[in-house]
Amino acid sequence: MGFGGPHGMWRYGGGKTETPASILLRKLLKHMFPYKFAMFVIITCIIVSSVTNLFSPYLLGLAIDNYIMVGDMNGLLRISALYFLAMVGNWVAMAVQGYAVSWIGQRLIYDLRNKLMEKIMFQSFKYHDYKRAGDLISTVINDTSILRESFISGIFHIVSDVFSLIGVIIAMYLLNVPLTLVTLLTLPVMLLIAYVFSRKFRQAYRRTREKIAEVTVRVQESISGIRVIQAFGREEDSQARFQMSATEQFEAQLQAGKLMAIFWPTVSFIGNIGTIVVLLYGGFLSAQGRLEVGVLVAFLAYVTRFMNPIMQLTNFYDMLQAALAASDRIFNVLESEVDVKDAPDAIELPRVKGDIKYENVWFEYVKGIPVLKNINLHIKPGEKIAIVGPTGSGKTTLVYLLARFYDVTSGSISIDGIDIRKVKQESLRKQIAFVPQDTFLFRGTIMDNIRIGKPDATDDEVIDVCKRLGIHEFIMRLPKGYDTDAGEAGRKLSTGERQLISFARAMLKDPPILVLDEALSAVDPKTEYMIKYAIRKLLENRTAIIIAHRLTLARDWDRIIVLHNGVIEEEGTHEELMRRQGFYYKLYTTQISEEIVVEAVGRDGAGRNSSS
Amino acid sequence: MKRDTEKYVSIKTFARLIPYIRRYWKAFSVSVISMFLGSQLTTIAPSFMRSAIDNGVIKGDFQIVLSYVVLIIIVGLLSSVTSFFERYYTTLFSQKVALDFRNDVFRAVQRQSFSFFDEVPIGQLVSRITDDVERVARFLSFPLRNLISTAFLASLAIGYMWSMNPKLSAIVGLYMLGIMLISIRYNMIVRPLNMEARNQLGILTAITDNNITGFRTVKSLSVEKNRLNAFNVENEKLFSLYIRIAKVEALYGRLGLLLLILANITVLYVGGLDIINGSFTVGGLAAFNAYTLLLMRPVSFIGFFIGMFSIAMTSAKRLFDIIDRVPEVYEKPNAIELPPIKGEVVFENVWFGYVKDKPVLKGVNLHVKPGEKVAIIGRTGSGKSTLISLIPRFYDVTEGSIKIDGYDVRDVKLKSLRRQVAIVSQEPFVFAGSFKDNIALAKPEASMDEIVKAAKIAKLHDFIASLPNGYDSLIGERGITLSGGQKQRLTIARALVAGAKIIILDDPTSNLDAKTEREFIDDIKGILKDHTVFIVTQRLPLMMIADRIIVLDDGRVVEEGTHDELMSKRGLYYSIYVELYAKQKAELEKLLGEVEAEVVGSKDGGV
Repeated sequence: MGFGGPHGMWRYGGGKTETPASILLRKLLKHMFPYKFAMFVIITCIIVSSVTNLFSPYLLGLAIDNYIMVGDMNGLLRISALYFLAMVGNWVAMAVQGYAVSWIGQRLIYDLRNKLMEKIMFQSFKYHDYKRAGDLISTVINDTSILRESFISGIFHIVSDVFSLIGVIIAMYLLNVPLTLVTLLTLPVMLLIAYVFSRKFRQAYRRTREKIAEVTVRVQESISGIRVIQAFGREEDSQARFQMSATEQFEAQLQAGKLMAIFWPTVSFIGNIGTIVVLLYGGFLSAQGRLEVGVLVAFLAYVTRFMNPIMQLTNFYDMLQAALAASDRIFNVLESEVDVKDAPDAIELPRVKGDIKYENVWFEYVKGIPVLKNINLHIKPGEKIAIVGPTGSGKTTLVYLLARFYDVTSGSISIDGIDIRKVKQESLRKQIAFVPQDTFLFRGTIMDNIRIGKPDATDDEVIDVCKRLGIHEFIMRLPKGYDTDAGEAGRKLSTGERQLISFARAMLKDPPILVLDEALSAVDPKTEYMIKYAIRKLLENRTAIIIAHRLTLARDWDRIIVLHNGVIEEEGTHEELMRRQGFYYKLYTTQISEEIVVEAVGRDGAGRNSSS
Repeated sequence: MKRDTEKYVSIKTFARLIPYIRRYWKAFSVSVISMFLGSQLTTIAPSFMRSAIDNGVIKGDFQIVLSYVVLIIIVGLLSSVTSFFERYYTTLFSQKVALDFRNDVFRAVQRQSFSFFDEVPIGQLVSRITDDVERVARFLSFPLRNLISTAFLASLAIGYMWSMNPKLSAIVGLYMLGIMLISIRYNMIVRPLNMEARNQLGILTAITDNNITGFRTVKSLSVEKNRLNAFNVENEKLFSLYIRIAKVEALYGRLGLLLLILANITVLYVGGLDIINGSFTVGGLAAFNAYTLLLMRPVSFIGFFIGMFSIAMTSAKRLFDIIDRVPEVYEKPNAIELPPIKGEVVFENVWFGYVKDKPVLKGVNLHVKPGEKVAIIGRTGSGKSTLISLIPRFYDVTEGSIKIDGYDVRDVKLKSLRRQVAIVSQEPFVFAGSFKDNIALAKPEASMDEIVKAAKIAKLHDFIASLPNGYDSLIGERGITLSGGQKQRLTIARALVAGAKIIILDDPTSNLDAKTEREFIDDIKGILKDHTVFIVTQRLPLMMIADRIIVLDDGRVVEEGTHDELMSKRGLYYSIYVELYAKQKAELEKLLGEVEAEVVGSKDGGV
């Protein structure tokens, strides 16, 4: 229903696209090709409804001139029945058309969203390194919506408007040529007004959007700072600032309202002029006996049908721009290159023993800046190694390569003697579990979140795994145990505690190879113990790589790899490395002396203070 | 039953909107009157057309046609003018109400005490102040005015039609009743569906967000298919919901139109017969059809109005709930101005809990002398942060009292109290604005000398002075980004300008790097020489500047004394100290990798 309708018209912001419009349109049409049957139905319906719609004034005129004026009652019944049929046909066509347009639009969004999500999920790490999550989310949710609103609904409206317009002109032309020409005179005036106003509207509505955004920012700022505002008793000042932006928003709204208030009466007055000109000229012709009354009545009905499509058409450009900008972003995602791909002849990797070999591995994120330089590393099945080194030394990159989140620049990585580039990614990643530093919790319960490690696991399996890891009691202490909402739990738990969920996920997945990035967060000794126990359990019977941030913990593992500037500087057990008095020794001893610094600061502070 | 109470609430909510509406009754009246006049003019136009055809065209009298045309032009002009007034004043009225409403809600939000902000997320408040107010405004603009004028327009049109042909009018009336009922029914069906669809879209968005922000985890677990499936399921649900809506729209949404067409045809046939009988005219028939079309809008409007009304009132209710909410901490009517204090703080048997029956503080007694520096130590959840937030009365004690220089904090004006108690926190809040404004936050009338003096003491002056615009330089989003340490210094300068005697250091150094932390601690000892200072911290170096250490456990003071005394006691403080010591050692290891060289350098300087 058309109430407040004009507000909907100028909301589409323009926005230039990088890809030429013609290419985008061709791609869009290609995506709509599967729905060619529905499109055919729509076009048919549009034609039927336009034609029948145009019939009604014609039949009305015919009824008056040929039957009512003549007094032919049977004829009147016949023509009324015909009129009725035409109108029912019109109604059915409109209803089917409305439904089919919605269907195509919704179906297209549905398909596009699934395709986009699939593409995004199967993209490589590199792609996500360069894309902002917010932009991708907005493309999946908003851009698809815009496309439906502006393009799908828009294009069929336009088609139907053009049909009606052409139909009206033809009908008028058939009825009376001079009257038609007179009516067409108002067209340029209407178009000019619509053109001038549509630009102003766009600006006015952009301003209201900007102003409401300012109000939002103001509220956000005030509320995030409310503790300071209240602490310093500055409520009035903050209220005044808010009022200022709220008032500006009000003024922008009023300005837009004023434009509307001028525009619509003007348009309707010009529409009136059309009617008046027809009445005047028609009356003149009729007085001379050159025009029948019925034709005049019918003509007047056509004139009112003439205006609406023209107003709609002026909106077309904005809509098209919005649709093109949205589809540009959509196709950008859909057509993005995946840089880590399964080879065509990739094989299924059977369950491995866990014999890992890095051979002359070089890797660079940015061309010319190697992060890993000629890494050679052999990890035997069941061996547990720790990787240590300063931030930026390449520890995380080294393990990312193992799961083929990135492809090596040169050299090769093999598991059980099979080059990881020759196997299917999925079969490779099934064999490796990653426990990242910070655990990401998905929507749902804690149970759901653990189960994600093995989606078909039963509740009992999950609980069993947690018991084996010694974290069952910890989970039961949460407000609702395993059924605790992950969001709620996430806020309450520390990074270390959240990592326990990752342990359970990995344990459930039960892979031969495990990669663990130690969480750094400080936890109380009890949790610390729980984490240590869980790690021991988790690593049993697996080949493991542990990225160790605390050197004191690294010494527990079979071998320590010291990474520095992308090169393996040293390797061996803690004792061996200490004896060598190399880089590891330096790191280790610096840390010991740093403990003395802490001590000194503490003592020093206490000492100075008590003397003052 | 449920629907009845729901309606009742809506009407009660609307009654509360009336005072706002009354404030701008003039603009509202102008818009309603303009619409009355406008609809009057709109209904007259077809009757002129009828006369032009019947009296002019058919009789072949062009003169009469001409005079009616002049009348139609005049009516058209007049109705354009009324239409302008109607639209303009409607916007003016609804936006004025929205503006007032917005200001009131914002004021009510600001009045709330901390417990409110602990509970309600910022996003929700933002959406109240922007979206909910907008929904109320939208309702106040066209729907409300239309309801009034629609009734009027409809009765006018019916009156005209009745005078032309009662029989036809009765027929049209019946059709209109049908259209109205369909419109109401349609709105009843479609509204809950739309709400469901909006909800479902929210779920889909949340999953999308989840899958994309958690991408690396998804990939690591190689559960892309599983996550994609979860997305597909929700996407499918949304799709089928939209299709249901489309079906309802295609059928119900257009049923009224079909009835209208039927009405037109009936008018043509029955009216045509009447013309043949000589009891009706051709012009009458044309006018009748025009009136029937005119009635279509007001009639189908009823259903639309009901939908709009309940949406707007739901929003209004949420807003009134905020406005009505009595802040937990409020000023007594007879509150006195707290005179400049020396800085003595006494806790007498203080009990406090955020939730009923779950006390966080259980009978705390504490006497802090002016100028004393006290560290509050305890494990997570022992009540440290709660204890200090009671001093500036961010929350009220459940039992007992807190006195500053002998004044109960509940007996003094909030502003005078909070001005003298400053908090330097871990994440100091800096407003978008200049350095000057930020430092003089509590005392906008402060002179430039005062501001500069405070900045000098806080050791921020040199930095500010080095900027091209000095104290007028902007900070925040569009200006300079301050480092952690600079933000802490800014809050200290703020407290100094405010003349705060009591300073609360709420873990201010935990986000600073070791070097900045050292500098900050060294400086603060001098700056706060004459202030009463409360320190809550996890950092050993900061803890060490305290004269006295209070150890909290489970809401009670379990130990107190100097560092050395407590260490020799080998109690809770000792074990916390040892833990922290071990923990901070580990943090330094991490630091080691990042600033290896620098750390080695500072070691030489430190020992």
